[in-house]
Amino acid sequence: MRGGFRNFFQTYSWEIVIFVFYLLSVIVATILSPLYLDAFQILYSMQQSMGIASILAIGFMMIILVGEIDLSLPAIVAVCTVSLARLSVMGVPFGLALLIIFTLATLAGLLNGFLIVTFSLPSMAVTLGMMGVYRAIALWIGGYEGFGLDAFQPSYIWVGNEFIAGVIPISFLLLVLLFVLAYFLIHKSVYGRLLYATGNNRQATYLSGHSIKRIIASTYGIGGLMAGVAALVYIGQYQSARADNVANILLFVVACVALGGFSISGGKGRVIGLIFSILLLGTIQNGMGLANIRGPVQTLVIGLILIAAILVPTVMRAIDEVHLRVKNPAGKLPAGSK
Amino acid sequence: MSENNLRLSINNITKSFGGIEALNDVSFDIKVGEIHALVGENGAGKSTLVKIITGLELADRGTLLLDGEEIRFHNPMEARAEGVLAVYQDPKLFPNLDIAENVFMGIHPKTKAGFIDRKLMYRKTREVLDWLGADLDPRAVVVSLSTGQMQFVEFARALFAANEKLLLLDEPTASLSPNEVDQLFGIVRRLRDRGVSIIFISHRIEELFGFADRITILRDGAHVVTDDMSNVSKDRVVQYMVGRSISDFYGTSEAEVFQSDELSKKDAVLRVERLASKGEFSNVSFELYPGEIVGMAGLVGSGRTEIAKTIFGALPISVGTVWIQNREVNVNNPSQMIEEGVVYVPEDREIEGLIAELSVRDNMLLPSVLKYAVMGFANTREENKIYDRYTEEFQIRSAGPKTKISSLSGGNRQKVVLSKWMALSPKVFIFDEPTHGIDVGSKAQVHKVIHELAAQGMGILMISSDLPEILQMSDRILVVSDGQLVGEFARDEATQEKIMAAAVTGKR
Amino acid sequence: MSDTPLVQTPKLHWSVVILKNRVMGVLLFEALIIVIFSIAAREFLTLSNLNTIFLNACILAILACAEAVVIITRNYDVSVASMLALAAFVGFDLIKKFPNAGPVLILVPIGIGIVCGLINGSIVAYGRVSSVFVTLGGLSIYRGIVTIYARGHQIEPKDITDWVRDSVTGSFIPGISNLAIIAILIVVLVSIFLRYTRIGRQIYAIGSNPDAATFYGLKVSRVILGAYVLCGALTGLAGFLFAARSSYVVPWFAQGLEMQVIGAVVVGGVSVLGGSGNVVGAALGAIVLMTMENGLILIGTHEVVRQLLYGAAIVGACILDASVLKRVNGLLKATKRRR
Repeated sequence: MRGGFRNFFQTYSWEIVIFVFYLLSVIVATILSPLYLDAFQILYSMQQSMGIASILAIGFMMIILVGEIDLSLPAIVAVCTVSLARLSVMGVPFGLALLIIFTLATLAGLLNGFLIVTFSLPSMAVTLGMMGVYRAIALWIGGYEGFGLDAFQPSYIWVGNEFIAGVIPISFLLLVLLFVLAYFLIHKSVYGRLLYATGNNRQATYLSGHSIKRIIASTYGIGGLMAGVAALVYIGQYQSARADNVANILLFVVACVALGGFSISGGKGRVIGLIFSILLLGTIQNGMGLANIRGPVQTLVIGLILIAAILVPTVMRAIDEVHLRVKNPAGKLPAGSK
Repeated sequence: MSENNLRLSINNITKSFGGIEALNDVSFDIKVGEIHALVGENGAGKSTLVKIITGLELADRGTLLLDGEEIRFHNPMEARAEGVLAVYQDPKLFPNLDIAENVFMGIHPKTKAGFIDRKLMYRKTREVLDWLGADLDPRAVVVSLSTGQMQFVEFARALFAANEKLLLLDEPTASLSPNEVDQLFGIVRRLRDRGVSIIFISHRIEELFGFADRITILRDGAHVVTDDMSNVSKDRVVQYMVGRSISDFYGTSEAEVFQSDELSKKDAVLRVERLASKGEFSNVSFELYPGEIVGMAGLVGSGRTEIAKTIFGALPISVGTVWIQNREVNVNNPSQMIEEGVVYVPEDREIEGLIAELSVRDNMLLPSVLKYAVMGFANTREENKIYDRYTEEFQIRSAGPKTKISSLSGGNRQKVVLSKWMALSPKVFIFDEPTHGIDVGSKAQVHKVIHELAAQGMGILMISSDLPEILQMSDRILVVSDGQLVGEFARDEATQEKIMAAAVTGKR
Repeated sequence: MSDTPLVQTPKLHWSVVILKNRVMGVLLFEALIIVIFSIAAREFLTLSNLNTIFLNACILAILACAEAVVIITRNYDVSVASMLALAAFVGFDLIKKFPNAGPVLILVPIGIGIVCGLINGSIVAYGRVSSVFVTLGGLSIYRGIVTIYARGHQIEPKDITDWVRDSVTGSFIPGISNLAIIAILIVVLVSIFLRYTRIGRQIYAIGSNPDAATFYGLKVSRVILGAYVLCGALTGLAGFLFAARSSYVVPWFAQGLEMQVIGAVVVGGVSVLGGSGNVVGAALGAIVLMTMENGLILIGTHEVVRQLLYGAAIVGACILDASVLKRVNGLLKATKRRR
């Protein structure tokens, strides 16, 4: 019994720590502003600030699990928002528009993935370039002014805008659904197993008879699809669509993923970790908003959290090394010994 | 102060890696200004000894004396400072930079103003290259050189140590053309005449005659003999290298001896014709019959792994055809070959055969996970059944299906690798050094499994550097040397000496 | 004894030629687009227009130099735009507050750049973490700092003392803008540094083969830190120049500039895989990008096309570099066993 308990703590150590921090942050937020504990307020503002980032984080998470990165996801969101607006203006029925946009978004992601696996390109640089390409496309579709409230048919903005029973945002339900799907995809399906295998050791996975190229490219496709979904929620929440939508969201998404326990080299991290880190960061950001801290300062804080999250493995390693040295002061470990 | 013109005195060096003994009480001496050949099979301990001398590893026991003074280097930099340098087979160079930069990295000559004197750098590099007899342009970018030429750059770099005393060359001729080998020998002779001592590791026994002054032979981590080159013959050297009785480890095999005389090529489960992969091997042709165990012997780097990986689809084919059960197959990638029923158990088990971060069960199920999936979801019940089945069959000791595989012992890990493929019921099983680095008990179990697989009608191709193992297990033995198939022996006519002789002769 | 030497330099393959002459390629490309735009737009080939292009490119060229140093070590620094803004704002704020202090205040933005570089570099080099994530964090941190510092204010032309403006737009040597001189000087100095100092060569070595660098005992962490510090210093200087030129400095100054910078570097032949390229190429890359932007504006292309350009240029250069690398590796394999 005892062994099982300790085992649990060891395996889920990261997630547990983040969860504890989350609880702490809720307490701190409540102390700072008694307004905080209103359920509606939480859901609503978390939704507003975190909803889109969360959806993107799910997509980003898939890509990072296989050890790659996609900086162009926010740009794909912009392409989708302005495209949705245009389709709405053209009078296209919502269902059809959705189909078109999701297809486009997935294809955009797959294009990134295709370039990267076919030419063995460094994903950072390439997706940086594609980010520019997609922003340009968004500009072309949306123009400088973009679209405002009047562009959208009611059916388009329903998802992002409406509430059930007046309290729970539909987009929140959508988010829950997505997380449930993500959980099953990553932790219960074969595909998820392959993602972890690929992220940890590409060569061994290849030699076990799996197509690494297909696996990696598919994660980019999912990332693109998530960008499409995020666009749908965006136009509902903000009722606007411009080429510079979600221009600054990348930092937040990356912070969520890094804090969620995912390693940039891939193969590590759990969905529950992402959920907790989103809750934590959302609370922090919410709290900062309530405390009237300005935008760029909030970004600064998130940036600091990102760096801290990344440095944790290094710090742990350093502690281990000190530990080892204390235990074994006489013998110096020879270089290269196993 | 050196005694009796001894440059290096190796005394009682012992080293183990995780329970496996690599060197056991090895002692011999290297004289000042001599070319000293160091010879032994794969795994005899030569590379370990080199690493200990240069400071990449620390010996568990024993001492080294350089010119009479005890040395204990902690890294190659320290060794280099004392004039002890090793040149390895895989050149550690900077591909984007030119030869001169590579030679001088970290030690660029400076002008009085403190800037790098590039003219001087190129001139000095030119001088060294000339001394080496290599007509290489110091400005040539390293990435455009052949492996042999890169070796020369490594040499040039080594020669800039101000005080070369001891040079260790690990298989320097492996990738050189005959011309380059001659040049290399000339350089080494000149160094010897300058008073440098050279430890020359090579598998090409024949080339050592007329070149090396003395020779030391290691076997299974122990010192066998050190003698003047003029006192030994090639046959004696080979004998010293392998001399042991086969029955030492494996007892007698009760497995049936496979007779392939009555079978024609059509019956072969795997047939390979004139297979070649650019730069790795060429003109390889052989058949493998169901129920047969074919051993593939050869020295490290001879190309056996590359042959296996090419058949498996992990490396590209340049020329040649592959036939599975008399049907020609277009080899594209491992996933396709697995479909065809060919599986490959890699040599580098830890890096290519297993994924350390995953659980035992996930590793075991990796190739077959799609097969048992239900609508995309992992079928944990089926998977656990498979886990139970193979854990029992191979007696794999682990704390449970979900434990991380890194917590298992080496022998158990190899068993997991085996089970991984068993679940697919393949036709052809390619083993690459299946018992490398495993304890004796598990070795015997792995052998038992291989025999059973053969008994079930699978064709087994077994790459091994363990001669007794190959002789014990194989119905037929193929010998690969330098990317060519140089010999084939039937079970009853094969001996360790014959195999080794074929492996070391090599065509050039 | 035969005539042919025993070990010979191989004939150069096209991929190696490209590797060595990437800069040539960029120059040729620049010449090509100048020709195309001269034909397409009458106003293009005027002295004043070419001058405009060159001056516009100057600051980008300095930034490209800075970024190139880091990229050669196989790392990234995406925080350059934020560093630039921070350095520029604080520097100019001090100039506003101490109008009589004079040119010594140039040291302020440079100093800020150095500090930022130290922070970035220490975390990347000693923390051994992904430079992308770290500098992404840095991007927002430095931007946040400048916003806090600004407290809602901005710097206006009236705050900028004359010597500042003159340093950029003036002409110490009649006929040649100071800005151009500074830019050229920096490219030359950094070039010399990378080519004629041991640390400079080690920067290349580390990017080319980090394992070999460690094996040969090079102080990898220190060199990487140095690369980031140099990048920061140059970025700080660029910040000063940029602000001096634009006269208005706001906290969101130069937002989004990263892509242009990396675009210039990549187009100029500095591969993101590390170990190759030089700052002259990076500077030329900046000129190429500015030429294209200018030309496209003159022929009336929509901004969309221009933006698409930066992105496509990066992707295209990556594909080119990766293809060359593949070819070269294939070559290597083929000569492995001499038969």
